[in-house]
Amino acid sequence: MNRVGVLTPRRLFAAGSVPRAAVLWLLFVILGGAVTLLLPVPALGVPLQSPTWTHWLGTDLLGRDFGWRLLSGGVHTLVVATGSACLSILLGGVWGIAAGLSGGWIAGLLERIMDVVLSVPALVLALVILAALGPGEWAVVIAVGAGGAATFARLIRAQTVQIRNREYFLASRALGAGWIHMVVRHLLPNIADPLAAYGALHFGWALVNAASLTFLGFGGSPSVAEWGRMLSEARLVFWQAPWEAAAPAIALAASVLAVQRLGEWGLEENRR
Amino acid sequence: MKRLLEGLVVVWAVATIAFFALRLGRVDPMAALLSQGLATREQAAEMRTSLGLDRPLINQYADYLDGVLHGNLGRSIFSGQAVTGMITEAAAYTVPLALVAWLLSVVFGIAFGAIASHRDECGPGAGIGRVTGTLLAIGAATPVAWSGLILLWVSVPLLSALTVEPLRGAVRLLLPALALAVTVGGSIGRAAEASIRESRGEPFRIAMQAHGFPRGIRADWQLLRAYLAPVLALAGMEAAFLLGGTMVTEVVFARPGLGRMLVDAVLRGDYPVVQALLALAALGYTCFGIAADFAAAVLDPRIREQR
Repeated sequence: MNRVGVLTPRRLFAAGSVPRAAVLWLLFVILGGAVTLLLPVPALGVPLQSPTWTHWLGTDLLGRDFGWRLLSGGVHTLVVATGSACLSILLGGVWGIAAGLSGGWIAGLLERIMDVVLSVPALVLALVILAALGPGEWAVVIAVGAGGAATFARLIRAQTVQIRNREYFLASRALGAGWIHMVVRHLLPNIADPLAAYGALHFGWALVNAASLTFLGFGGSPSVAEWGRMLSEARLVFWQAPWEAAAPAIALAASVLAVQRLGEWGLEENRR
Repeated sequence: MKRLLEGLVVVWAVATIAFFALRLGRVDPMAALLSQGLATREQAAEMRTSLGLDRPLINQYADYLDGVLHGNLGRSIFSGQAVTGMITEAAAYTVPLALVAWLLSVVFGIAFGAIASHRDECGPGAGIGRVTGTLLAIGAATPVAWSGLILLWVSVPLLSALTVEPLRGAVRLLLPALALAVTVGGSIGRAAEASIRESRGEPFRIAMQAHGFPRGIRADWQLLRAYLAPVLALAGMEAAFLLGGTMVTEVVFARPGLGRMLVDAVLRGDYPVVQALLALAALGYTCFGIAADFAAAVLDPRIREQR
């Protein structure tokens, strides 16, 4: 259990084709987005064109290049999902470790709060947080991140409780080590692998929920491309240009699948 | 009984959090009224006073709790309708939708999960199992909005081809339910697959095999009681979480219902409606959780023993 970090290049290369394909797809999305950040935005064309040589995937209702929006939307979607997944992991990690290590009424209280938060569907919870914050891209990050924190906290708590009773942990405690030392030196390295794997699974979840919220119209400015919003915009032109709904949806599903498969692969590696 | 009491505490906590989160937040119902030109500035100020929104939060909260205990969930700020009436009206649309979606995803999820669980064996089952497993993963990753759009696209010619009214009604219910079931069924199917594979390695199963019970897909029936408990726990949770899924489905299909009501209420800052729906979601979660535990105890003698 000393192998910290799930994704070392060597282990990835030794793995089957599925994790490799997943990494390739995510790299493609990120690099494609980087290209759209560096190059100038293509000129507006005739609205709702079919694919042509100047506009490879046609244009949308306002004449914007669709392929371009798809690529730059990918990065926005991934950034929002990454931000909210990190927030979930951070909040949930602190929450879960605190609930796992502290005893008595503090642990009881922290677990009760978990129960309360988990009893509301995460998407609904995110929606209410969003209502309190007002719409916007960062608000979506905070809403999805905070909405998913409890799920993660429960996982971390379970892992922490397991480690808490191991001999090395008890020994370090008996030797008089401080809490910070014990968490950093003994707890974190030992839960890092499952943490990273669950984090990947959680990331897929954040991707879907963030996209659902922007689909419902809670995202930031409409000029910024984002897959969820593109899906919602494409509803208007679904009969003229069905591919404009299909493309962001398939890209979204592929990203979720890629991240999930990576997480599952990480969990499997971890068990070996 | 203890679970029920705990559940009630959870419902109360959720309602309280919703109450304060919304009122301390940035969405102001009067701003929505003003921007839509539905009220003048003086009217808005007057409404704020008549609704008691300018009073201290603690007093508002006390009034709210008092109302809830008398079975009065308040009135919508926008339509003036009683919230209980609005919810029963919308539930008439959402409950059948959620029920059909849930049944579809449980039945197909478990069936597909059973097929997919054979992917590591030799014989023709392996290939089919692998394909089914991939389909389940794709289903679980598909955004509800997208499966909804595809089914909406199917529904228009289908609806114009059908002329018998009961059939048209069935299609109108079945297609949104199917859109939801793709995602929910995908995750239930994956859980079922994992659970079946695990129970296949258990000692009682190996003993059965030694006594000459068959393997293969038809023999999965014998494992049903053993693997169903964790699947049911997930299915119960998903049932409560369908409210989140119906938010998207009802918007895509332009159906009235609880999910759409919630989205509209949050967007406009209709406090009483949001509070009531959130408390309802928490209540549903508690009830379904208890039901799933109960069903698991009935099905699996090992869980009964533990109690």
